Amino acid sequence: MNLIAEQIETYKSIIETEGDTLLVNMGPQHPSTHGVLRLVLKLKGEEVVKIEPVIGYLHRGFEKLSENLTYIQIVPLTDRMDYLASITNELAYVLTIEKALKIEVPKKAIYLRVLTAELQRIVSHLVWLGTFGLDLGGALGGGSTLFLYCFREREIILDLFEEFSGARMMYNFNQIGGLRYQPPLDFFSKLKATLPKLKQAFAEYEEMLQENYVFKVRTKNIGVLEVSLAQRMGASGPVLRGSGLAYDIRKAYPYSGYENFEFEIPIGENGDCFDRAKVRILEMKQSLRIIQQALKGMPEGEVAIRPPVRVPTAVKVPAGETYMHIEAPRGDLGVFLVSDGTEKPYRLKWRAPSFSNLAVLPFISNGHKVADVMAILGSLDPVFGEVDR
Amino acid sequence: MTIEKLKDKIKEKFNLDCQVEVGLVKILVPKESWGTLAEFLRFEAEFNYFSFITAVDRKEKFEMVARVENLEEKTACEFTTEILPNETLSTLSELWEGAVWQEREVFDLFGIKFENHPDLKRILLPEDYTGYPLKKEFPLDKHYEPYR
Repeated sequence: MNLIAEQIETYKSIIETEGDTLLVNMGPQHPSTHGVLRLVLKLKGEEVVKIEPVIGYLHRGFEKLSENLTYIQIVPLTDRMDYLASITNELAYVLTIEKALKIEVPKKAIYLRVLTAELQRIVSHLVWLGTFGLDLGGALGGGSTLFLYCFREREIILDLFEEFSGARMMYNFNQIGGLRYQPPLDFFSKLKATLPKLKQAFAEYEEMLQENYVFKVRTKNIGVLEVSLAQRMGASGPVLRGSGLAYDIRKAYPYSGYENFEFEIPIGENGDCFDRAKVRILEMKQSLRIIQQALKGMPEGEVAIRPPVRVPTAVKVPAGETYMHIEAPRGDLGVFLVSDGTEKPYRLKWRAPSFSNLAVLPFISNGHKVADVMAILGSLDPVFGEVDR
Repeated sequence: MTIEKLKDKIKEKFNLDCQVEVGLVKILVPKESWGTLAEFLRFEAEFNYFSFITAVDRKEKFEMVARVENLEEKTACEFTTEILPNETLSTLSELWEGAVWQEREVFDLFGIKFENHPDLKRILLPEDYTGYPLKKEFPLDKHYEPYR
């Protein structure tokens, strides 16, 4: 037996096969999995027959931790859930507590919350767009071009956030009853100067993708998600809207003053990867619109119902159940709080949009090629801090 | 179906009183009618969107909460039941596919079993983990060897 034949024999004993299908493990350290996700692929040639996501590699037990922390201590913890959209996590949490306590926050805080949440949506979508470009490979403008473009714009916004809150990603910025800080004096003027740059960049991205032949071939009719299945799966955000249902919690159940802002809900038609991508790019433009309106109508005054103090007084939430959900960049982010009248929550359940969106993957990848799995996964945009919690 | 109509229908069909808030119905159901009520909500009341299912450990019993929504009419329904620690509950995954993962999560963290669930195994924790961390009895103040 020669050497090559010997090697083939060795490989045969390692490779798992079942009939004429081949089992392949993708991840948990695969670069296209956006974190730590393992996919067990059952392949027939290049075609995916079955796909099973294995999650939990980033499980940090947030829900258990929260039961043993006071209400105020939980806010910085929420930043670590969806680490690409920290402010929206904080917002969901503080709005839940404020709903349970029936607190009204000052008008300036409401406007600043909307402003920062929309900036965060842009930041989050920029990371998605950049990594989606990487997932699809070098055909999109040559390797990491799109990725670096997106991070260039993201950096501008992160610098603004840093000036505002002192941190680039983990802000700990919303607090129960308002915001922690007044914005710096030149914050608004700097933001205003940034907006035209962003607008121009979004137009560039749109042109770069919508008219790109390679992008169209890689994403059109790939991973088609029907709207009825999307609903039954609990998929939300751009994944649901890409399938053609104009459901946005900012419009359906307005929170934090969103009823005062004018914007449209972009939707797709076919529910394929292309539509999900299109929805996100259009959403960034709508976010810019909201930011402009928020800047225009920005009221004067305090940003919190009480000034920040060094040792926060205990917040006690009366016994009961509260549910609050907001439109995070990835969809319907819900917080279900069961309180028992003490200063710690009795149970805090996070309804994470990435978790429900990722569960769609096995339903829409069958029959596609292995390379398309990356495109589909990228278009669902899961963040594993949130999937695993 | 409007909230008021839904309330009457549930009263008529299941003889249950609901708590009504703006755009939201809260129902406390006995464990036996969990499945039939879910079927009614899915097919007749057309709550197509599955938001979540979770449990609350009340020490001597578990409170199970599920939330479904009708996105077109902007109505939601939270239905709750109570089960004893050793009892099982019928699965919702035949009505809403989204419940497959959500129920696996509840099983993983609380140890509650669902009847007829297609794939009931741990999801967030490793397969060789023992114990159910979200139970109130889970030890936090002493060393714990979770792996078999």
